[in-house]
Amino acid sequence: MTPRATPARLVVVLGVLVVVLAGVLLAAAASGPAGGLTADSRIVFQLRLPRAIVAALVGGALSICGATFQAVLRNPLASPFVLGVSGGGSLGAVVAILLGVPPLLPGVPSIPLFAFAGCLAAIGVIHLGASRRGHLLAHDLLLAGVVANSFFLAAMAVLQYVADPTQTARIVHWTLGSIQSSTVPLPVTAGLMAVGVLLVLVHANDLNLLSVGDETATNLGVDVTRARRHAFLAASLMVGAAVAVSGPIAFVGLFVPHAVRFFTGPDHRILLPASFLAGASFLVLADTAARAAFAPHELPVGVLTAVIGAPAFYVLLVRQRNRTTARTDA
Amino acid sequence: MSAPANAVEFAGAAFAYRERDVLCDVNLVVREGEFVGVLGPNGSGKTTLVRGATRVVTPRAGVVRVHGVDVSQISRRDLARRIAVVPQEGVPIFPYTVLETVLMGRAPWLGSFAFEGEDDVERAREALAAVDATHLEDRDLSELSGGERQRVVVARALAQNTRIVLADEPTAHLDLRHAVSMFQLFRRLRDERGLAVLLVTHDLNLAARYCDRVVLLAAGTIRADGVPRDVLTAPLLELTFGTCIEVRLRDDGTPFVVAAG
Repeated sequence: MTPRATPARLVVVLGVLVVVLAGVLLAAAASGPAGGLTADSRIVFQLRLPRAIVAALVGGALSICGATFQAVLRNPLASPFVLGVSGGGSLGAVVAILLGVPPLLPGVPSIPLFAFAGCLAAIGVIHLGASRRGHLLAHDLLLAGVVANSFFLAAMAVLQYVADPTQTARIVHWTLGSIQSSTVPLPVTAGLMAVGVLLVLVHANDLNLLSVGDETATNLGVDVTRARRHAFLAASLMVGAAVAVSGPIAFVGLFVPHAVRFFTGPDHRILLPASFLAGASFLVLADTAARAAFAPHELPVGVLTAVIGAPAFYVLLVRQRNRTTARTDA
Repeated sequence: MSAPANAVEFAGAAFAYRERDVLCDVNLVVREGEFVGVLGPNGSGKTTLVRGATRVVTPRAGVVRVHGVDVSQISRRDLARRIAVVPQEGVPIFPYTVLETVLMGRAPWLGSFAFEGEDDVERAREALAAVDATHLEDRDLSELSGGERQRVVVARALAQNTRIVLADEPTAHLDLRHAVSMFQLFRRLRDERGLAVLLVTHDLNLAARYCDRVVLLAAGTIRADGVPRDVLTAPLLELTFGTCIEVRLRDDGTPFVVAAG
């Protein structure tokens, strides 16, 4: 059992995680073949630190989205990518790669722009497909999302089939997910994430009640459809921003919320902000490791998170199971 | 002295799921300080009655009023401050503790990102004590037995601090002692705080003993509504439940029902 959620506990948990994140960012800024913090200040401040901050934003966003989707869909195995928002984003990116679209907006290359547009289109399609007579039910959302995702993957397969080898290589690299290729202006990414995080946090109490059940939440004063819609849209917006910047980075959004819940308990008022900070640290560490492991070559961080994420998730589930069993036996 | 105010009122209310009619032309009033039992066979519309009062389902015809106001005009949050519901089921997918679960009853009184204060915790603990579950406070809800969980859900409804409580088979999983004390608890809430209580149950004898009135539902209509002695008669019950039923009268005149088979 974990202590119940109080403002004091929130401050302690977030305080610890902020310190960890600061340390991880410092470590990321200090590590590289060109020397530690004594390296050329341009390398530290214009290359390593901005990249670490992007990794933090992406990791944080994916993790808070995972926690949100798990409550919104009443399904602990939900991840930010389960609903096909990222699938729409990937399809958009593939289209941009295939058509070789020149930059349409100053300072923003076309791949992230198309990826973000693909995410927005996917959000619209999924929301439309899941709405039924003014209601938005968890299983309708899951159904519409899974179907949309399959369709996007199929469409990508078709496009990959007609792509030439150079394009195929770019598509594969993009869909693995990496921070390295991020080219979106940092303030844009940070702004989108901030809006998404705030919108989700506003519904923290509602998400607690939604994870008990729609009828109970209704009887406790929650406008269930409104809360689910807002949380879905806000989280999807963050997924879109994250996928546009880095491609779909696997497992972070599934693994981190579970790991955090293991320590903080299930209350979303603590779980959501803690997931953001923990996910941020996690992805900065992973990206730094991916950068250093095979230097001077880089491993796409999405490969690393997938390889370590699956076994780590398994270990976590086993520990969770053992904890429950031990208490039941006692 | 004026008559007690109407807490919940169904006026010619009809409910349907898709095309299937579940309740037709229901006229029913539950007043402040009244403990009403709802009885009837499976599928007779008892749960729909509860859902109709809280606007989980909206009437196809007629109107439902809470404290004299059409429920369609009352906001979700305001409704949750007036009516607490004890639902039949609802296990969260995450391991919330018993205290956290009961504290959720305070949600209608909190802001969107607010934390419960000390007085909320105190209220939750009082509610736990009322259902004899103080010792369960730190346990995970998912580890409890069905009966223990049911008492915790009742505690959550009590913590909601409403003037109206609707309970859907709150004694279904309870042992004899806890079933009796559950009825006694609702009776006490009616006596001491003047709450309006509507309780759906299959326990005809406890309803006969503790309820002011019982309502007999059959095939989507109210077949009888009155004091237990008038409603719980062998011919009426046999007609409603379709099995041989014997009714005896206890010394104080309360009916005692036995399914004779």
